[in-house]
Amino acid sequence: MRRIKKSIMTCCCISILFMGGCWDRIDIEDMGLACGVGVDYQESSAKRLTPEFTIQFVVPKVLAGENGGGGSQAEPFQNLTMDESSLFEAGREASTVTSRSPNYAHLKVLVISKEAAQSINLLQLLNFFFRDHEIRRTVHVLISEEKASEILSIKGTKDPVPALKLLSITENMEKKTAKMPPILSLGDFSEKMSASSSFLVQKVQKFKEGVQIIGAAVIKGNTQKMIGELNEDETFGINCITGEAKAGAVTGVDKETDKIISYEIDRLKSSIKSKVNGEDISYTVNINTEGRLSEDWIPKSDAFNEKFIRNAEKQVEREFMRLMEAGLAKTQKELKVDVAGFGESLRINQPKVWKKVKKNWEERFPEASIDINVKVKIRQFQTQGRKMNK
Amino acid sequence: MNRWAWLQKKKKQTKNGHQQVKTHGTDVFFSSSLDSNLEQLQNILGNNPDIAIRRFYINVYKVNAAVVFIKGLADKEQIHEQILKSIMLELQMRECYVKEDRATGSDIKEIIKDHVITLTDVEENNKIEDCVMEVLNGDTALLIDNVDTSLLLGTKKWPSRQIEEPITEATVRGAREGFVENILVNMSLIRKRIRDPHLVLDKYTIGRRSQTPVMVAYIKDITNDSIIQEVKKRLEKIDIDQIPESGIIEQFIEDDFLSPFPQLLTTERPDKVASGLLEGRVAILVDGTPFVLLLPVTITSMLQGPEDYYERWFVGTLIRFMRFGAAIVSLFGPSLYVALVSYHPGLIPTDLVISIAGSREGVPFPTIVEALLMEITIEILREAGVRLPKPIGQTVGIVGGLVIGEAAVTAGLVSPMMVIVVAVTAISSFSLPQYGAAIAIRILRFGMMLSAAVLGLFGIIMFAMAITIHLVKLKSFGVDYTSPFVPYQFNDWKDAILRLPYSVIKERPEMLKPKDSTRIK
Repeated sequence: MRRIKKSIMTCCCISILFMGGCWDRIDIEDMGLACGVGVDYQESSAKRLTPEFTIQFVVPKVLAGENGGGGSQAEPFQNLTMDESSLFEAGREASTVTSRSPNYAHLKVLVISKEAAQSINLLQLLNFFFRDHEIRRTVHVLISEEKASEILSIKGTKDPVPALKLLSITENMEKKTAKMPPILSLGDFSEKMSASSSFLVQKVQKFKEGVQIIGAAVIKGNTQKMIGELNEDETFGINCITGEAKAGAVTGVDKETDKIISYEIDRLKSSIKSKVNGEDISYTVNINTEGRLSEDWIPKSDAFNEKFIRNAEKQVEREFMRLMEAGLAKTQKELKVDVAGFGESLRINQPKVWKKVKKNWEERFPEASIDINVKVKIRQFQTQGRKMNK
Repeated sequence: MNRWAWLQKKKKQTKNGHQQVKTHGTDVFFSSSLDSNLEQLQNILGNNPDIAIRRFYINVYKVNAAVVFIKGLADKEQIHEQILKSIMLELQMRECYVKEDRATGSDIKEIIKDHVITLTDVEENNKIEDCVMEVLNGDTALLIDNVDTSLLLGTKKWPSRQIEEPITEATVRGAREGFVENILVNMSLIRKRIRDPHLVLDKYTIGRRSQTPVMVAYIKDITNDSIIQEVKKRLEKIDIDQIPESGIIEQFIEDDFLSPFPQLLTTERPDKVASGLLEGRVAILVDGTPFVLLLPVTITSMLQGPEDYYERWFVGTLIRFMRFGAAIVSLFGPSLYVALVSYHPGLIPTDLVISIAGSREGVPFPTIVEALLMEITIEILREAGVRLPKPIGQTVGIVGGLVIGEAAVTAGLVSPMMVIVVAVTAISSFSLPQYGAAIAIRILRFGMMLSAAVLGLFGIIMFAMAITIHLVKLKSFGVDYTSPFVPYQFNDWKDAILRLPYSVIKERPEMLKPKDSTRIK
C-alpha cells in the first residue's frame, strides 16, 4: 500500500511540473521591446482628458546588424502612437497594430510633454507606470518642451534609438555637467509625489537637428503638476545648493581685465543649516568646492603665483553666488517652491518646528531668509601654469 | 536504508527462494601414480592447445616426472632454466645428493624442492582443484611418479603492456606512470610509492569463471576499520561469472545505483591512489584493467586533480576555483540561457537583450528546442570522436564544431548566441578532471534544461534543490557525500574548495575518520 501511495505522490509531483505548461513563456524575439514611452496631452471634445501614448520599440534585427542583411536604411526603432482613454488601454491597443505586443521590462525613458505635465495631475497620469509589474522603478523621467512623440522620433547618428540616446544623455549629469537636475527615476518620482514635495525634472528640448537636455521643469508637490521651469543657470544654482553638482564648468569674469576664468568642479559639498528665531526661519548655506582651473583668457596669467590663484578663486566664487541667487530667486520668490531640500534640513535639525510648519511649508518658505557662503579652492591648473607671451 | 542495503536484501530473498546447488563436491587429491594424475589434470584442463604437459625422466632416481603449465602465462625461460635444466642436467652432475637407489618418493620430492629448483615460489599441494587454479594463473605444476603431491612452482609471467602515461588523466606536472592491465605491476607501482609495512593488500578472487584477482589495498593503521569492513563485506557478496573491468565491481558495491553521481573514484594514476591511501581511503585493484577504484569519495574529490597539490598552493587554489566555476557553468549554462531568454528577458542587460533578440530573429524553434538540438549534436560528436582513432577523431571535432555550427547558423536553424552557449558549456565540462563527474553533470544538464524550459528560473531552482536533497542523502561507504560541507567539518575546508598551504593542512581529512590523523608534525 505504502508503495502505491508513494508512487502516486511522485506522479502528482512530476505532473505539477508539466501542468504548469510553460505558461509565461514568450521567446525574446517574439515580443516588442519597448525602450521608451512618451505621454502627450490630446485636446479632446469629451470631458475627460485623453492622453496620447507613444511607445518606442527597438527593432533588434536592424540594431544587431549583420543578420539584417540588405535593408540598411531600415530604422532601428518603431514608434507607435495610440490615443485611448487610458494609457493601459492604449498599450493593449498597440497589440492590434504590431505583431509583437509591448514588453516594458526594458523600458528606459519616460517622456512627458510639458503640455501634459502642466494640465494633468501627474500622480494620476503616471499611475499605470507605478502599477505595472514589468516596469522598473529605474526608468528615467523627462519632461519635454515639444510633444513627446516628436522628441522620441528624433534620431541620433551614433545612438540610433532615440530613447537610448536620451538615456545616455541623462547619465552625463553625474560626470560632465550640472546644467540639468540629477536623474529622476520613476521610483524617486513616486516617492516625491507621495510626500507631496516639490522637485525638479530634467527637461528635454529640440536642439538644432537633435535633442538637448538642459534646465529643469518644476513640479509642485501640492498640485502635482508642472508649474514652471528653470533655465540652465538657475538649475546649476539649485544643483550647487543641494550638493548635486558633482561636475560642470563655472566661468567667472576677471574684474580687472574683463577676461574669462573657467573653473571645473571636482568636488562640491554643501550644507544647509537652519536657524529658528521665534517665527522666523533662516538658513545658512555653505558651499565648499575644489576643482581645476581649466581655462583662462587673461594675458600673462601665472598659476604659479598664489595671488593669481586667489583672485581666480574669488571671481569664480562670485559667479557661483550669482548662479545660486538666480536659482533661489526663481524657486523661492517667484515659483514659491522648495526644491533644494530646505524643508528636509529643518525636519532634521528642528523636528518640532517642522511639525508645526509642515502643513503649509511652501507658504512659509518664501519668507525664509537664506545666506549663502561659497568657498572655492583651485586645486590644480592642469598642464599649463604660465603663459609664455612676454 | 540505503539502496545498496535494499538491493542486498532483495538478493538474499531470491537466493533463499532458489536453492543454490553447489557443484563443488568433495575434494579430489593426487594419487601416487603419475599417469593417473596427469590423466585427471588432462580431464579437467581439456585438450586445449595452450596447455603444455611435458613428461621427462629423472635419470638418477629412475622415475618419471612431468611439468604442466599454460603456454604464454608461464615463463618458458624459467621453466627451461630453473626447472628442467636443473632436474635433468645438474642433478646428475651433483652426485653427492644421490643417497641410494632406493630413495622414496617423498625423499625425491624433498631433494628436488630443497636442493634442485632455483625458483623463489615453491609450494606443495595435494588437491587437484587448487593445482588447476594455480596452473591457470601461470604457475607450473611438477608431478613426480610415486609422489602424491604436486610441487607448484612460481613461474607467472602474464603478458603485460609497458607502463605508459595515463591517457585519461594527463597532467603537466606529476608522475608519467600509469597503471597497466597487469595487477602484479599495479601492486608494485603502489608499493613503490608507499614503502610502509602497514600497507595491506588483501587478495580476493572474484568471478566464478574468470577467477579474476582483486586486491583491496589500505594502510592498516590509518584507514578506519568500518570502511574496510564495509568494502570487504560488499566484495564478498559479489557472485558473478566474470569481472572484465573495475566498473563492474563499482556497480556492485556502490551505495545508490539510481544516483547520477559516481560514488567511487576511478583513476589510472598510482600517485593519486597512493595519496588517497595515505589520506585513509581504500583502493580496489582489479586485474585486467588499468582503472583502480578509490573510495570513499565526496563531492569535493570529484573536482580535485593531482596537480592541485603538486603546484604551489595559490595556483592550486585558483585552478580549483576555476574548476568549480566550470562545473557550475556546465551544469547551469544552457538552462540559464533558456530560462532567461524565454521567461525573464528583463534580467538580461538591455544591450544584450537587443543583440540576442536580433540574433534569434528568424530562428524557427523555441529556445529549448534549439538548445536541445545543439546539445544533443555535441554529445553525438563527442561520442563519435571518442570511438574513432586519434587523427580521425580530431577531424570529426573540427568538422562538427566548425562546419556544423557555422552551417547551422547560416541556415538559420540556430542563433549564433546559442552556439556560444553550447561551446562554452562543452569546454567547461571538459575541464573537469573526473570523467565520471563530468558525465553526471552532463546528464543533469539535460534535466536542468527541461525544467528551465517548463518553469523558467523557478524550474532551475526546483531542480537544483532536488539535486541538493539527493546529494545530502547520498553516502559513499558510510561517509556523507557532501562532506565536509553538510556534516559541518570545518577542518576539512582547508582542502575542499580552497587548497591551503601544506603548513596549514596538518591533518588527514576528518570526514574519513582516520585512526592516525597527523599528516605533518
